[in-house]
Amino acid sequence: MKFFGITLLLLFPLVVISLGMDILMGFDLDNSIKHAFNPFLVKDPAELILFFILLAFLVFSFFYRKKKKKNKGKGQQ
Amino acid sequence: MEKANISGYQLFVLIFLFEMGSALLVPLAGEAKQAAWLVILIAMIGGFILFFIYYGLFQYYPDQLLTEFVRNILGNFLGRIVAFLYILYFIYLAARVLRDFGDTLLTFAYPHIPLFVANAAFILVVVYTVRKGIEVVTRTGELFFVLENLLLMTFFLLIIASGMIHLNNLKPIFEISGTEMVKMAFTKTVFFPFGEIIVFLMIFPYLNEHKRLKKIGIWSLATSGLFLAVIMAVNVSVLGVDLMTRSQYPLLTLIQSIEVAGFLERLDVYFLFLLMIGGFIKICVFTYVAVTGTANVFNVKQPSRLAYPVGIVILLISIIISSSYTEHIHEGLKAVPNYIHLPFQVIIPLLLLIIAFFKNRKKGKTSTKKSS
Amino acid sequence: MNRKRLVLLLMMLIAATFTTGCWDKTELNEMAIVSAVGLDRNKEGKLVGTFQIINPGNVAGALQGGGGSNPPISIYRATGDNVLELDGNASMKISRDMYFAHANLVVIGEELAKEEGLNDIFDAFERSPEFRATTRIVIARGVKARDIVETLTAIDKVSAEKVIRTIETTEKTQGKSISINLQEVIKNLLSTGKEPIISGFTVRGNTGKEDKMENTMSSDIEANPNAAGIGVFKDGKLIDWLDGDKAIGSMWVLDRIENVHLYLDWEGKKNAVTYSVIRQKTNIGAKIVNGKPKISIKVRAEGDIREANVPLNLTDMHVLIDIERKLAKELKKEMEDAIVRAQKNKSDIFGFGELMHESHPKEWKKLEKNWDDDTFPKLEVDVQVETFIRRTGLRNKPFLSNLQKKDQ
Repeated sequence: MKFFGITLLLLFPLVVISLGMDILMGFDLDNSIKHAFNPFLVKDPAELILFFILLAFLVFSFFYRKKKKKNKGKGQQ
Repeated sequence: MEKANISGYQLFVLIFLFEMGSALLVPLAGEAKQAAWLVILIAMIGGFILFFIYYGLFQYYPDQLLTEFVRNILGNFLGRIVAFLYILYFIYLAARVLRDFGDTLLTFAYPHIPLFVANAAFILVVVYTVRKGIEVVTRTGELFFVLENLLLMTFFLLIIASGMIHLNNLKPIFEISGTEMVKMAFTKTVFFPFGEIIVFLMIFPYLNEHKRLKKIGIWSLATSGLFLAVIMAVNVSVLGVDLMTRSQYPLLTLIQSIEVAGFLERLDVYFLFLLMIGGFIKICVFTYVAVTGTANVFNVKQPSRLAYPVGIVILLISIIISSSYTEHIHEGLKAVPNYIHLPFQVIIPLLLLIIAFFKNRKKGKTSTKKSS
Repeated sequence: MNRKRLVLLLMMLIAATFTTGCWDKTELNEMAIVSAVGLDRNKEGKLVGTFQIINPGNVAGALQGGGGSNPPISIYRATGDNVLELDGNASMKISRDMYFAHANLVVIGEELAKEEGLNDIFDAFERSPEFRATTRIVIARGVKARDIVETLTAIDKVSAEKVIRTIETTEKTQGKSISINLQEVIKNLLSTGKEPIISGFTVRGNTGKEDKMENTMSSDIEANPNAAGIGVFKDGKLIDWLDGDKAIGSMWVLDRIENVHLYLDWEGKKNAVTYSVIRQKTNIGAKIVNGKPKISIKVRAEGDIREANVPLNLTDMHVLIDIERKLAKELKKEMEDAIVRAQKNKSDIFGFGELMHESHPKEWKKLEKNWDDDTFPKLEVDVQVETFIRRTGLRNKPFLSNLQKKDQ
């Protein structure tokens, strides 16, 4: 769970920074947000699948060691 | 900090490949037109100055990474915040380089592949390498160094052999005045690629002989600066100023014009090789420092577990930063040097150095008092 | 024990004779492989079928030797009242059984499609176990179906392949044809909310000569088969042809565009900027507003700029945004024109009716009867287009922008 928090903590400020860079170049906020997220709108089916597989791995990697630890703990007892 | 040891030669190779990485791709100091190579050399001197600042910091804390000694200098709370900001900086730079390479692949070789997929393929390999630690990254760099040098030498020879160099294209050198050149060098070119050597503050402690660091740093900066200047000079002398400023990838245009002995043409794929090598090492270094820094700031015991999440963050940010390649370059030339590189590469390290100087003076006095 | 073994052996031998599977065998030299079927209507109102049969020996020889003197296909004609009668009558002329499993193309003559319509011809094709459901359908435009089926072509030995591939390539690179197969056409004929559209094909040039071998022997082919527009159907009969921009606009609404080029006029110069679409998605939604149906179409396209013949500064983001807006406007106009044309034809080729049926079934029951004639022509359609420019190729500014400086 700690990793989940760290990932989010890294992601959000960076999104804000990239929006900030766009604003500094002379675009308004609305336009900046549109520019940031428009690559995610038009997707190939294969791209969509890859995106979700990567996200799924990410989520699983957070819980994986916890499961291992639980099993190890039980085994030792 | 992990237990790792890098030899002097390995560090030299790493810094060299890192500097050359994405600087080969873009028209470096393109606004200086014919004097671009001079501007690069002047910026190299600026790079030396920056290196000395970082070397000074290193000497005060030779066994600590950047994110660790920042906490020592500024106190735990403020230090953690500054270290966190540096981690964000590293990830942002990694995302920029990844976006650069992905877009180049798409423009040049694979127009139909979605950008996300190309970037994902790249970053997954990088994550795998970074998980193994700095030694693996360095050893990979060693292997690639040989290949890259071979390719560069071959190109140089081919270009000379095909007689395309017209040194007249480099004149007049002083179309822009000397002061303007210095201004351009110190406001743009010094930050990219020379100032990015700050990331190595996270890698210097792993060097096995700390005394040789100064020599290695200066030599690698000098060699990479020289190579870049020569390549830029060749670019201008073969292509002419007009074509060089109009092309998105001047080195590619250069390689596309090679035609030797009637059969050595269409060598574009070697450009891709050079690209992939440089880009890979650069992104690996950025990702490694981001991962180690994060592990440091957040007290994570197994940094290698953090590699994949940080990699995904880099991937997502590389898509979010801009919606077209033009926007990406525009940002990189106008907004990034002034608002991002300047504080992180110059202002904060200078402040840190000054504070460290005063702190250690105090320490020196108190310790002599105690000993006597 | 011995008896048991004997019985077992006997049973195995008997079973062996049943498992050979040779009951329905047909030797290859007893089959005539049909690769295309053309259907026309003659003056007496009877169906005329033209069957394109492959000559296997000549196909192989032609590929290796490079232009044998014997054509790789042969044509047989027959008349009749329905499709199977054609089959039977043709067998009087052919020495073999006709084998339809490789028939990839069905060409329907324009007059047949206009006057009688498609409803009577497709049943045999659908019912037969040999015929494929993925057979492509094409309408012969300006010529008879037999002219297209008879054509000999240079690059693809079997001209049915040429027709199919031409239509697929045109659909992919231009959007002026649609590659549609038998199953889809029948589904659209049945559906009350959608009408079928079928690509047209024609032969340009000297139409008397396309069935001669000399047609393939010169580099500039005299009688050249071409894809030609899209045919619009209503109640199974051909009513209109869509060409050029209207065809492309219709394909955009149908979400079947792949790699089309959009041209933009700039500062008086025609088609000065070219935008090449890499990926696109058309989302159509149906709503009921104030008791009346309303369709909203949202199109998103991603692409690169591939040609700029005016001195534009492509390094400036604001110029790109300007281009994006102009492209979106132009595309919106193309699509709206295509929709207006379909409304004039009173034929719902886009499937808006089906969409209404899927999202608002109760209202659809009321609207269904008069959809094509009453409701569809007055339908309010709202089109929104977003185009994104991702890259500009290997150069940023066009060299024209520096040329002008020299003149100054």
